[in-house]
Amino acid sequence: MKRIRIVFKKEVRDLIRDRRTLYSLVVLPLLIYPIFIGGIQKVISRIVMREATTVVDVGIVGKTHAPKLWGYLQAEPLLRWIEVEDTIAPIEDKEVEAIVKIPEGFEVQLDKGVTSEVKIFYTNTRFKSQAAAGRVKDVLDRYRKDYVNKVLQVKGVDTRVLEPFDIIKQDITPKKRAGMFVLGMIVPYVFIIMMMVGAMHTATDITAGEKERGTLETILTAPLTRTELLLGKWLSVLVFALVTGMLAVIGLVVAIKFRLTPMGNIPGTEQMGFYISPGAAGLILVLVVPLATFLTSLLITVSIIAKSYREAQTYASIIMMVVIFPAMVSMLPIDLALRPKIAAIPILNFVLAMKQLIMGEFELHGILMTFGFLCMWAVIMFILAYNIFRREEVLFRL
Amino acid sequence: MIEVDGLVKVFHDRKRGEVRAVDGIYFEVNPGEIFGLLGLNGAGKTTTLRMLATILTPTAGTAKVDGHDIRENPVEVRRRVGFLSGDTGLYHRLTPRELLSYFGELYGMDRKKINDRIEELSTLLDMEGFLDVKIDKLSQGMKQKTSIARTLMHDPQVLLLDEPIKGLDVLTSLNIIEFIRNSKRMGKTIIFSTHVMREAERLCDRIGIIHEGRIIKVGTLEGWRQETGLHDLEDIFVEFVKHNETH
Repeated sequence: MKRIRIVFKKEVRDLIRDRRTLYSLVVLPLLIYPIFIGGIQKVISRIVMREATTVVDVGIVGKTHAPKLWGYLQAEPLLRWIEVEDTIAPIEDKEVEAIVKIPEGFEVQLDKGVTSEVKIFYTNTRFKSQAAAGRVKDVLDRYRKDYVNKVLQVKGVDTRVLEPFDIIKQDITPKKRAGMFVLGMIVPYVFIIMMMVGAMHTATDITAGEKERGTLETILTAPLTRTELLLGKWLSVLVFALVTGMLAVIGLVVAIKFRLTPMGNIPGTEQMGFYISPGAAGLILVLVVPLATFLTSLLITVSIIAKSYREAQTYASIIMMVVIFPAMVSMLPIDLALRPKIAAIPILNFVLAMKQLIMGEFELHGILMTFGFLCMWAVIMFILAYNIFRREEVLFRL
Repeated sequence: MIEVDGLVKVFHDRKRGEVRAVDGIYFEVNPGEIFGLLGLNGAGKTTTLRMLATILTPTAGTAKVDGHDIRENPVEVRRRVGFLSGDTGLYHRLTPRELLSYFGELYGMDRKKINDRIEELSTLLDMEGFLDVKIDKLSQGMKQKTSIARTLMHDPQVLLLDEPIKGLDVLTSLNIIEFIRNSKRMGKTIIFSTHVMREAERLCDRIGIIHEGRIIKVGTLEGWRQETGLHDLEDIFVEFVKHNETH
């Protein structure tokens, strides 16, 4: 036990000395989300602002068929109308962003009560074109509504008949927990990925890196068993993985708390509360231990097999790519229940359980099942790492 | 002090199949003696020393170091052995003092003993100027001194030195040669492996010639000169190897 502590202390000191460690495992995870999310928010809000205030060129075909509507359209300040003949080429040539085609005899038909079609042409391949079509449709919708109101007034009917009652959607989520929905989607993913970053860097450095630098042979001459050495190393990787994961979560929560969201300020998020019950938080911590054991053992195993630091990083990146997919499931807007088949899949089971715990809607037996399976995977992976670490042909590239 | 009793090490190589890197070797080394293990690259020198240092487990046979069996009691053996090779690297992000403390702690020494020993070694090896500089920033000679200090930290009775001079500049190799001679004067048991005949000639009391995993001859240079009528160790070595191959 004492020797494990000696090894652990030395590994931590050795890793902290590396400036790359400090940047990538402490500074980066803490700042990445505030900077990233804040940056995206700035860019998006700037684009949205620009789109909302610039004048767009829109084509018109058949304006003579609807003088009243044409007057209505021309009154729209952010649309500049250009008379065109074709409905496709001007959009393709980027002469205009959208085209409105009014059919022959439109107003005559309208007054007779015969339905006819006003068409908006646009292309889905251009964001500007989509926006222009949307803007034109809004104007047309308004015109249609005004027309209906006028007709009803003429006939002496109250316009309230169109909307005889109001529909109100009310979110009953307690204010103090409203923010947890957002966190539940993102935090599990961010936590796993950043934990992987922390574990990858350290696991490759203190296994394959040591092999490459020849220090593994040096330490093996000291009077400690390979099990003690492995445990010391494994503990230090575990600690770095957890610290990196947690710092990233702290950065993320700060970013969201200050309402730096990618979509700009979502209405209603001003009083978004962040509350997690102590029980749920405790259960998350309980789940983190076997998960972190599983991931660090996995990374140590592939890094010790590698012949060089570079090879180890290649293997670790492959693992990272495999881990990303189940981790991403937390961001999908679906509620997967922790049935036995799903609770057995490592990483997927953790993100689902963590998501449920953060959102405060969980079934205890699903969480316990997840814990059981995670422990099983952790033990299997640790035994694998242990067996590989004891093989001299792996340690010495014989 | 060291009794090597039929050590065998077999590796499995994907391309070459079964490789008998060490194929049943026997020799003894006494306290205060420098025993040279002389052989070409790939003869089995490193594997032999790694087995004696208990870094590798023998496939068959065993050895005793200061009465402790390398198979049965590897941790006790390690307490008595200082192993230095061209491959034993240093932790570049630590300082020599931190590195020596780390090994001292692993050898179970207490804080005071560790500090005293570091003082002692740094005086002996003239390391005062760079004890607290990161190893990364040290010259090759300083690094080599740090490695020697690491090997001597627990004051081992037995020194296993695997090609310690390989690839070093003249001044640094002189340091090592001085260190080996000093250790002999202090009564340590030393095995020194090399493929450079001149090094063996300069340092060793007795030499074992190792070839293709077997010790084909053990003796002194003087004795061999008389036996073969040749003067140069290189010629003697070639003579023995040839003789071995024809038989």
